[in-house]
Amino acid sequence: MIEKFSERYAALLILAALLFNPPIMSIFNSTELFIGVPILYLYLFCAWALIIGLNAYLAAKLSAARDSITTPNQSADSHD
Amino acid sequence: MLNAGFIIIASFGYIGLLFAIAYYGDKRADSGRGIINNPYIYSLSIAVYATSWTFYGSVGRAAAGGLIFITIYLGPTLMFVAWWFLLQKILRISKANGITSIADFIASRYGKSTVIGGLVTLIAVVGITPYISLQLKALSTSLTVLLEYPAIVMPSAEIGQPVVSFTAFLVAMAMAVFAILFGTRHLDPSEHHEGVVAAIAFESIVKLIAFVAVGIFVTFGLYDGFGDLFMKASANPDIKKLFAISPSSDYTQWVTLTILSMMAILCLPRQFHITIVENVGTHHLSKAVWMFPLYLLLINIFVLPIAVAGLLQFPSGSVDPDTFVLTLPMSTQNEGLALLAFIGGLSAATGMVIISAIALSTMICNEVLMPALLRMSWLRLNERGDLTSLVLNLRRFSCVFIMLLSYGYFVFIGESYTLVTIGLLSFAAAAQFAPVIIGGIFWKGATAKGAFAGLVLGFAVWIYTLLLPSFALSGWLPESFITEGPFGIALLKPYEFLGLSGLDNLSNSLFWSMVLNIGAYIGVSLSSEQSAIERIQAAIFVDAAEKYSGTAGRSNLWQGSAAVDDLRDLLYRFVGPYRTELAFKDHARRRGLELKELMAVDAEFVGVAERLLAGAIGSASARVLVASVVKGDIVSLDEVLQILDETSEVIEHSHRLEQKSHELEVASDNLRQANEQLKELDRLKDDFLSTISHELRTPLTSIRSFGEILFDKPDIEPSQRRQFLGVIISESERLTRLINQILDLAKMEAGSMDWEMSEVDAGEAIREALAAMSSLISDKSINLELMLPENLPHVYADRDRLIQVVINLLSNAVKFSNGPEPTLNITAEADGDALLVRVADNGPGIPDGVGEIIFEKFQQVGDPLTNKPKGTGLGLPISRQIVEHFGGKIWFEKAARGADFRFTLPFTHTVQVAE
Repeated sequence: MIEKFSERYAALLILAALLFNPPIMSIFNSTELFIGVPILYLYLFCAWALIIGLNAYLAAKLSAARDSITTPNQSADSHD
Repeated sequence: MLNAGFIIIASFGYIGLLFAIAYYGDKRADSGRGIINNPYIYSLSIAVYATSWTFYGSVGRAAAGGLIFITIYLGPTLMFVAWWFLLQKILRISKANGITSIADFIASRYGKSTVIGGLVTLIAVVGITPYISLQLKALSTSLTVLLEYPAIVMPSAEIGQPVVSFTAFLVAMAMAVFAILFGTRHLDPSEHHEGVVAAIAFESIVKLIAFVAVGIFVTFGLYDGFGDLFMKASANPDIKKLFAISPSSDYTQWVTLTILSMMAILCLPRQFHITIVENVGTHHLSKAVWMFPLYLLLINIFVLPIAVAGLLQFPSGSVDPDTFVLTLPMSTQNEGLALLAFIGGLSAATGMVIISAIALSTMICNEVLMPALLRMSWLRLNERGDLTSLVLNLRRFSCVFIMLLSYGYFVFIGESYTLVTIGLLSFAAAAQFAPVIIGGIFWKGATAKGAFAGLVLGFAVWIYTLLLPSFALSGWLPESFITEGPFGIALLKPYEFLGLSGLDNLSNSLFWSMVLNIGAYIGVSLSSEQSAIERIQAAIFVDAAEKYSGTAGRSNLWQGSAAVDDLRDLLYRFVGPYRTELAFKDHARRRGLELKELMAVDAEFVGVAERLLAGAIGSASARVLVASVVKGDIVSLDEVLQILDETSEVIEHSHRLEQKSHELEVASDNLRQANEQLKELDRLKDDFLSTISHELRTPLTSIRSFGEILFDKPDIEPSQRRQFLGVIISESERLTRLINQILDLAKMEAGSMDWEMSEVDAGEAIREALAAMSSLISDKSINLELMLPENLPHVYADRDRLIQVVINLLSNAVKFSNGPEPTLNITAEADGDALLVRVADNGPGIPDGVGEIIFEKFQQVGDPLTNKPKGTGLGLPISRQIVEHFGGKIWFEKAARGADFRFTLPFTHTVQVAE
């Protein structure tokens, strides 16, 4: 159960490194405005928020997984 | 309202509030109700990363280079996504080993080496001092600007008014006092300063609120939201340029800065201190890894809007963008907001200064001063009484030393540089720790010599390519040092080191320092040997997985014992009687020892003492001190390792022997059982033979006697002769049958019977058996009641043997059917998954108490002495063997009259299911 998180965090790390750096970042590297906001500025904060959100999601899953390990009796019913 | 007096009172009022919060936090901790044991306070305290550099400098950076400032915050986000692989492991190692600082961590990994610890401390102090003075500079600049209110005037190159310089000095000293009061209150082996952490978390809230307030005011007060602001800015091509970054040069810098800030969040001494050392619950980390990046995101949303608005509001360029956060509220006479912005900047600066001072003073004291003092034998430190106060005073002295050093740097060099440049200088210095940390926790082969070489080379390149040029820019060195290289050697130009051009000076420095740092680290590690203690520490750090959590992840190298009193004296002097006794009692209780009766303690106990001491004064010093009280020989580490190797071999050997002997035991057990079985079989065989010979002799005797009579009396009457010959024939038949049956039975028991198994229609087999017996049945005029339904499911059996079973039962029944109105009742019906066949008669029946005996060989009902046997005594045993081979069962039911034999045969389909 816990071992799986190595792969999840590795995947998230790769995703974050891709989103935060050229060349993906350079796709949005323009001085134009989109809905009144510079495109790159908008993109970076959206990508950033996405990564933070996914990280928070993993943290929640992790603490659930840890709880199920520390209280195995209760978890037997609710987990496979 | 915004006059000098009020501003200074507000500033010191705020600092007073910090003292109050820290005092409250410590009080709560002392009473066991700490307020920092939750992930929110922990995350906020990590936000000490956002210094005045973030608060003022990000806007300045954005005004000059656009969005590139954001890399300083994306890097930490990446590192916190990677926490599962790095931070988590570092935290676990640090908690298990009582690590007190980043220098202690690195020194511990490389064999508790005082040299490495000292080197790391040196790099940290040289690298971080400019960063602290940067905070003082930000403070003095912001104060100078604010004091000019309502005019907006930039400070001149020299230190402006004496009141500003004096205020900066006062704030520096106030921070030193704060660090001394709350950071060196007592020697805590866990190195937790709850009051300080609480104050830092509070400061993080203040700076976030202040910055966001200015951002909202600028975006929605001065302009009509983001759209309006950016639309107006788009009209100016110079400002519009900031919305994107220039691909030609900035992409390199983008990646460089991202990597640099990733390493910084890991390696800056204050970040290590607050994230690792001050952590009070390892599980808080998994929440902080997203809360802290969220904090960074929130504090950065308004950086670009403020920068753009500042450029629009002050188009002349007379206002330094580093001060926009302050000057924008000032320019619109928004006094309250200007003061809030100033307080926010103050909180950003003080937070960083406090934690850096505590982290650096701990390092200076534990890694440099204590080991040095302990080596000076003429000081006779070992014989002095309470040393707690000495250690604390050394730390206090270190705090003041660092603040004075930073203030000095600020006064002499600080004015020539922008905020960002100094910050990056420190980042690059801290980054030199990254290879030895990351390598140290994943690569067991890394040696102390390799780490030393890597650190020295990396640090040297950093000095040459970043620090010396910054001196040159400040006028301490000739400008030609940068433009032409030292002594005019172009190859050695610091910003284009070894002729590498095309990179910005930071990327250039980072590239060369990392190449040489990592190169030397790996190269020297591969070509040098680890000492024993290095090998052990390397194993502890690299294998710090779950199995090393708890007590296992600690090095326990002490051999021999120490007197309790010696150990106690030593600890009293450094950590005080209270904590010493607490730790001793705790350990004694855990191991079931009686502390009062203990005279000398063993290696494990000494290990506990060493760790307690390490928490107070660092692992390197602790080792030296404990060695001085451990009696007899501390077996040298190499010897310990050798003993370990030998012991493990012996253990392996004895383990194998044990296994062999166990195998032998099992084998002899099996043999004994087999022997018992053989004996039993032998006895059975003897019984069988004696019974069989008896059974064979009876018909033989009878044949022989009648034969003799016929032989002796040739004139015997024909009718009588005929009768005698009839007896001889029937006895011979009986003998033949007997021998056939014995053979059958023997085959069946030996398992060598040839079974011709197939699907059999049991009803048809029964009819065939009846047909074979029909003459006998009609001879005795037996009334036959047959109930045999058509279409019974098939059974899996040998057809001939099945007929044999039915015939056996029928002939038994016929034999005993000698009463009046003899009746034979034969039924076959499905009974669950099996076919139930019943053969019943109304003869004399089976006497009570006979039971299963009739199914044994040569057992016949009736008294064998008086009654002439009517069968061979083998029919039922053979029937049982056959039926059981088919997977069925044979038995007899107690009946009111007559015998009632039944057997079952499983249907074909159930057999298949069972298989």
